[in-house]
Amino acid sequence: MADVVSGRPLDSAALAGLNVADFAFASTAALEPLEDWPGQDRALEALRLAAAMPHAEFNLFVLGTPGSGRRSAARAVLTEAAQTRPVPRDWVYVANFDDPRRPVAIDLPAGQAVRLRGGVRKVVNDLATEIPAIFESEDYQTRRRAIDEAHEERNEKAMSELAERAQAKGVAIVRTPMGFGVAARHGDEILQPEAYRQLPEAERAAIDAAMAGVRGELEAVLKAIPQDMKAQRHEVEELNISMAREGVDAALAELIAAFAGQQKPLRHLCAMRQDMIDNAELFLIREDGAQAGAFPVATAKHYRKPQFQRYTVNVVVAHEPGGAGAPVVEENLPTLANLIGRIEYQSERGALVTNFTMIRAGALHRANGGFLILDARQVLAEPLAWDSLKRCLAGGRITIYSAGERFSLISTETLEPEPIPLDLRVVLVGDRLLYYMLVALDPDFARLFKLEADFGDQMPRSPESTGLFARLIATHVRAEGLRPVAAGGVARLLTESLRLSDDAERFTLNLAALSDILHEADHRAAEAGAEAIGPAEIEAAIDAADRRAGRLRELSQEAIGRATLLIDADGARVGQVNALSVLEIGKTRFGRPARVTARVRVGTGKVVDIEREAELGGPIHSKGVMILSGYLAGQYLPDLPMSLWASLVFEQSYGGIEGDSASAAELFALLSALSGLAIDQSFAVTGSVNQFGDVQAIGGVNEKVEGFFDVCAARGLTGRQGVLIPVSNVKHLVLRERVLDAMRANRFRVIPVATVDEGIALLTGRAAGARGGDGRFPADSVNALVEARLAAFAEARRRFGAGPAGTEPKP
Amino acid sequence: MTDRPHRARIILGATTLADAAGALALATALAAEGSELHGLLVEDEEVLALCTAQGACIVAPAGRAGGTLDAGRLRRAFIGEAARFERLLAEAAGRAAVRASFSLGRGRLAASLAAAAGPGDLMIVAAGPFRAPVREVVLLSAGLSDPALPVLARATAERLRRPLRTIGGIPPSGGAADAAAAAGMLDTLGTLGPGAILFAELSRTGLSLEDVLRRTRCTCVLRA
Repeated sequence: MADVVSGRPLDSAALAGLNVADFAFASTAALEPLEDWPGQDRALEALRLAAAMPHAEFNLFVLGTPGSGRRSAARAVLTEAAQTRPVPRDWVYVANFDDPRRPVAIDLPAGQAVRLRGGVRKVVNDLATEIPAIFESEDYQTRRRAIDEAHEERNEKAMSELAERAQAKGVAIVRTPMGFGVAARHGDEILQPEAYRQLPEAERAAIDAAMAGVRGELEAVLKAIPQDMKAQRHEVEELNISMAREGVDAALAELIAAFAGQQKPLRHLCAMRQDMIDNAELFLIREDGAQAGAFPVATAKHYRKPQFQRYTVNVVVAHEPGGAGAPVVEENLPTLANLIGRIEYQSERGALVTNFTMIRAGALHRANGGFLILDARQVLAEPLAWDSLKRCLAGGRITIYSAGERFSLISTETLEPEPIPLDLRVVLVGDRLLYYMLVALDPDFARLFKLEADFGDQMPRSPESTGLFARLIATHVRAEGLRPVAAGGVARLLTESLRLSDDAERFTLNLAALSDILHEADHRAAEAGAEAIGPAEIEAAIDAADRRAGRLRELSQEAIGRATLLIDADGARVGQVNALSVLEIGKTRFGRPARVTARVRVGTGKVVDIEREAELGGPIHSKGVMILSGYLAGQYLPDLPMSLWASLVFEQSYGGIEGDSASAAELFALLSALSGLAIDQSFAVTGSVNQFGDVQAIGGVNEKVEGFFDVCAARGLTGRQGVLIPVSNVKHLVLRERVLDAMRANRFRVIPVATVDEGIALLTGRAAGARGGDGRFPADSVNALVEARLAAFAEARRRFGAGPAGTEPKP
Repeated sequence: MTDRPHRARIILGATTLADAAGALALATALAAEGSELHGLLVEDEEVLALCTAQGACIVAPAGRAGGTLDAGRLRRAFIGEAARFERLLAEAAGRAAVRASFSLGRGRLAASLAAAAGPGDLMIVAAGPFRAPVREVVLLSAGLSDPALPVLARATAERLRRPLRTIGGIPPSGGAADAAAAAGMLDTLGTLGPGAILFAELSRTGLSLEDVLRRTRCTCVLRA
């Protein structure tokens, strides 16, 4: 940038924003794509470190503004790193046959989970056919019948012998509704009491003894029956188990051999084998539907039947055995369930029930062994998600639970799945404010997220970086499938990127904003049948975007044009100056002039900020007004009490005012009111001041200049109109072409100022005046007039405070 | 009014629900061939006589001594078992789609059965105090005139997957030797265990229903 002389209008040709590069290429089609992100070396270094670090807790927070490429950079770096890592192990949940509430988690080499599931399904299918065949076989029936008959014969024999003995002893055993009746018999009839009493005593005693004997034997026989039945059941069970064992062992042999070297799967297969043997009757349950289906029984999917659910292998994470390294998972909806997995329920007769087959994996499961990219704001916004993520990272394992369970909202059967060891790198992507708040407020955060990748928003402009910018555009249009951008188009984009960064010496790294322009320009190029996106398409896209978002700006200009908002663009007036503000509403950001006025009178040294008094001014604005009070106090009559009362206001401002960028304008209005010198209304002013009278940089300088320019242009440019800006803001100027055109034609001026004196001189057309060796300002200078007015105020105050003659003045 | 033509019945007679329930499946299967199923529970005088018999006692099915008998309790037990028998009968008949009826008798089982049975009816009764799973089907060929009875016996054996055994005997001729033959036949039948089902037609064997029920310990299917 050429040297800037304050107090003189800027030469538009000297503005840095105009001097974009002379590119040596015709279009971006000739450029090599970038493999990295320009200007983000620090962030990329952190990303690569996070990808390479083996230690836990070196998780990463990627901070930066949206559109800076932080997420795509994280994705690309992690994907590259993931390809060098081994494919993680598969995970399945299987039944815990000893404690169904606590399903067992098993890890297997990649690809083996699906193999195990398929193997178990085949075993179940086979056994569903083979076990019934075994139990229907002649061999089994014969052996079963032999057991039954042996016991039946034994019981029958005991009963028959008892019946015969009872009959021989003259005792009847009669079945009654209340049990077995035992009585003495006479011939074929029950011995009646009279007949019994007529018998000799010895005979009666013999009968009594016989009855007692038979009764005892009967009791013994009947008591032995349940014992014998138990023994019979036991023998049958033994037979069933031995038959089932043969079938199960045959069916499982291949699968057990396949997983012979793997302890956990093998342990499960052994437990499953025992359960299948113990519960072989599950394979004997027949359903008419299955038998009557359209497919042959041999091809039926028996493993889907409810009774075989216990043998299901619930594959929660499966990888291709020859897959491309570790996973990189992005979870865009990081709810609690989507993070740590969930246990689903189904309604059965009004009750919610679940089992291990309803365990579902979360993002942590899927990313285990690799990388998980999450949006920090979304994780924090989802109930319990942040807490669960921290728990998992801190504990090094994934424990599945539901929010309802955590808050005791659900009172139903649930599971406690065995936690799965967690070994992954979590990458949170968020803005800076969030990062700093987490560091400040969450003690766990700094411990679990030791790395930060800070993506810059801007890149210093240099020949090298300009070249990188062009390649960045080339890379982006290729990735997005857009037309190449002509060199002129890249130059125009570069100018816009400077404008977006509010700095003619730095271009923005917010690729999202540039991408929007490129997409629209590509559309326009397509309509025009152009092979490349030229500067005209870029310009048209920028203009169109401005126009779309320009309704409020136009309304504001219209209000000024119709004199609803009173803004003068010519003439001169005491105590009145055009200040500039920036309105930022939604995606719209535009400058608007505002009239600042000042009134003065004698008082006690108070400068009233009406905005603050009306509670419309923010703290920074109030600070600016206080600073200018300090300037006045130090600049004029340091030996006399400040006897000024002044009021400052933004006229016709009904919203809030914040920022100190109008403090220079307010000071100029005050100096005008004190000096009685009129301010040229062809000027607008922006800038803050310090207590020594230096004019300091402010934000939004481009929009402010353009805002006053548009007002002037609407009324007709006089060539006298212009904007006073802080000299330190010149490097931020990237003005729109309409302003630059007017500057080139000397119809509009942008004048940098460094001090208050410089500014007031331009505004009043009279030298500010420096204090001379005699301690006085030059006569008729602005400062001399101000000081004289303040002295008059002091004198008036003194006289007013002296009261009647001869009395001491009051303080 | 016209008399309804007589339809052969399967009469399941019993003095206890346990006996009736044990033979109900057999009776229902036989009735399913086209007969009506009739249940008959008899308050057996012999059982009631136990209440007054000197020293008589009850042993519960589980083998515990049940004390002495009381006529009132026994009668109430009969009535309760009759109600349950009738319900079981209706349920089984419903499942097999056969017509069923029920009656409660009093007296001696054999006499009540004889009184209830008409020509062509088939009486089913479980004799003896003990029950056992079916182990064999026995057909008494002596005095057999009904060609359907062997067919039924064979079909029952096949259905139950149990062997069919035929035992013979001397057909009655009216002489003194017949009594001895009948006694011998009764002795033979007395050897049948509780796991046997006996198919017999008594009318031409010289055996009385009462004798058969008193001497045998198996389930009897007898042509009236």
